[in-house]
Amino acid sequence: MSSSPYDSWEDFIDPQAEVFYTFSHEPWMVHIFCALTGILVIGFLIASFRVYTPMHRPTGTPEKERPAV
Amino acid sequence: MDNDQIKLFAEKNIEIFYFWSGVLMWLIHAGFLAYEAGMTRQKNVLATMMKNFLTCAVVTPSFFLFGWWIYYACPQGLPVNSELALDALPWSSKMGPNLSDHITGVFWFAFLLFSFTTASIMSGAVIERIQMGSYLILATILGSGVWVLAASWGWKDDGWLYQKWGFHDWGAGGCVHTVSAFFTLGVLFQLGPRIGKFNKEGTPQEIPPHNLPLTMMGLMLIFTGFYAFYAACAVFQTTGPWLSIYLTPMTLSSLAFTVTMGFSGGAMGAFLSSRGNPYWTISGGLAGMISIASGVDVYHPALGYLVGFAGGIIAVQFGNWMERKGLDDAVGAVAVHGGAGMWSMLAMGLFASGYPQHERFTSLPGQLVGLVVMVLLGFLPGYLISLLLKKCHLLRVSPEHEREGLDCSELGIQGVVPAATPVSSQPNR
Repeated sequence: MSSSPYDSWEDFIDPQAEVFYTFSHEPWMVHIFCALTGILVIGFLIASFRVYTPMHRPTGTPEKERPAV
Repeated sequence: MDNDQIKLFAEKNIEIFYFWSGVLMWLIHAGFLAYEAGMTRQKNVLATMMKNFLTCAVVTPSFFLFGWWIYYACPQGLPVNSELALDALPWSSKMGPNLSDHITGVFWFAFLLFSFTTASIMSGAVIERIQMGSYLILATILGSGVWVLAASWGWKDDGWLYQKWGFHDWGAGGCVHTVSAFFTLGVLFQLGPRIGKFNKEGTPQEIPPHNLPLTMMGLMLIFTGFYAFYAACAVFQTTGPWLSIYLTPMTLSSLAFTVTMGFSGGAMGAFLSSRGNPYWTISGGLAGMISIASGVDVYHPALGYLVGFAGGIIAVQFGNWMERKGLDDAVGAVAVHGGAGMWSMLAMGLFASGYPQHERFTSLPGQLVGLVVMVLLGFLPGYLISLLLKKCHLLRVSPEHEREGLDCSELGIQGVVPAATPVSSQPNR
C-alpha cells in the first residue's frame, strides 16, 4: 500500500496540492497512529511509577537490581 | 521594486537563512564537547575536549580543499570534473567573496557544519585511548571525504542512489549518521576496548562518567542545534514551496512537528528500554530525532513519534548488544547514530513508500539498497585505515599513558584539578 496521497510527480508539484503527509488519503491509518501514540504515552506514565519508585530502588541500588518494566 | 531588486532581495534572504542556520549548528559542537567531556573520567577530560575541538579546526580547511569538490564531482560514482565540480574547486571564482554569488559561501558553510557533526560522532566512541594524531587523520578522512562521497551518491538530486533507486534520506540519517557510526565501528574493531572495560572473563565493567549532568546539558545543546541542522537541509527558493535536497516539495512546519515528536518518542522508548537510565534516556531523545531523519519531510507527526519511540528502543538494545560482543563504544555513538540511522532509512521504506520523486518513487527496496551502501561505505574505510595506523603503532596510546590519563600524558596538564590538590602539585611540561 502506498503511503503517498499523490500518484504522480505532476500531482505532487501542482500548486493546488495541499496535504501530503503519510497516509493522509487513508485517515483510518492516521487514527491508528494517533491511538498508538496515546497508548504509549499512557503506558509510559504508568511505567514511570515503577521505574522511579524509591521503594523499589533505594539510593545506591545498582542498575542491575532495578525492577523490570 | 524592479525585477533585479526583487531577485537581489530574495538572494539576500537565502544568504541570511543559511548563514544563521550554520551559526546555530555550532551548538551541536558545543553540545558534543560537553557531552563527551562529561562521559570521560576526570583524567581524560581535557584531552577528550581537545580532540573534539580540533575536529572542527582540521575538517574546515580539508573540506574547503577537497570535500566540497567531492560532493559535486562524484554523484554518479567516480569523480567527474563537471562545470559544478569545477566551481567547487578551492581556486574557483565562486569560492571567495564575489558580489555576483551570494549563495555558494553560505551553502559551503552549512555543509561544513554537517561535516563537523559527522566527524564528531566518532570522537566520543574512541575516547580515553586513541592517539591524537591518528584520531585527527581519521576525522579528516571521515569529515571531508567519506561522508561527502555518501552525500554525493544519496543526498543529491543527481546522485545515483536517488536517480536509480529513488533513495530518500531527507535529514541525512544515512549519509551522516549511519556512515559515521559504521566508520567508527570499523575503528573500534582495531582500537579495542579501554583498559578495565572488560574483566578476564570478558564481562563488561561499568566505567562511570565523571559528570553526567554536563553530558545531559551537552545533549540539550545538540537537540537545539539539530533544528538548525534540519533547517539547513531544506532548500529555500524564491518562489513556490520549500524543497527537499531532492527538490521535492516540503514545508518547514513538517520539521517543527516531526522532529519534536520524534525526540519525544525516542526519549520515552529509551527510558522504558533502559529502565530509566538517565544517560540512555537522554541519548534516546537524540536517537528519536535521528530515527525520523529520512522521512521527516513527509511523516505524519504521530507516525514520527512512533518511529522515534522504536528508535529509542533500538539504540539501547544495539548498545547493549555491542557491549556483549566486547566492543567498547564509550558514549554509545554507534548505537545511537548507527542503530537509529539504519532504522531511519528502513522506516522510510516501510512507512513512506510510493512518494513521487521525479521519475521514481520512494520504495522499500530503494531504501534497503541505500542502507547497505551507507553501512559499507562507512565501515570499510574506517576499518582499513585504522588497521594501517595500528600496523604503524600509531593508533593507540601506550597502556602506561592510558592508565595515567591522557590529560597528563598527552597534554601535560590536568583538565580537572581535585579540590584538595594544590595547584603547585600539578604536573608541568
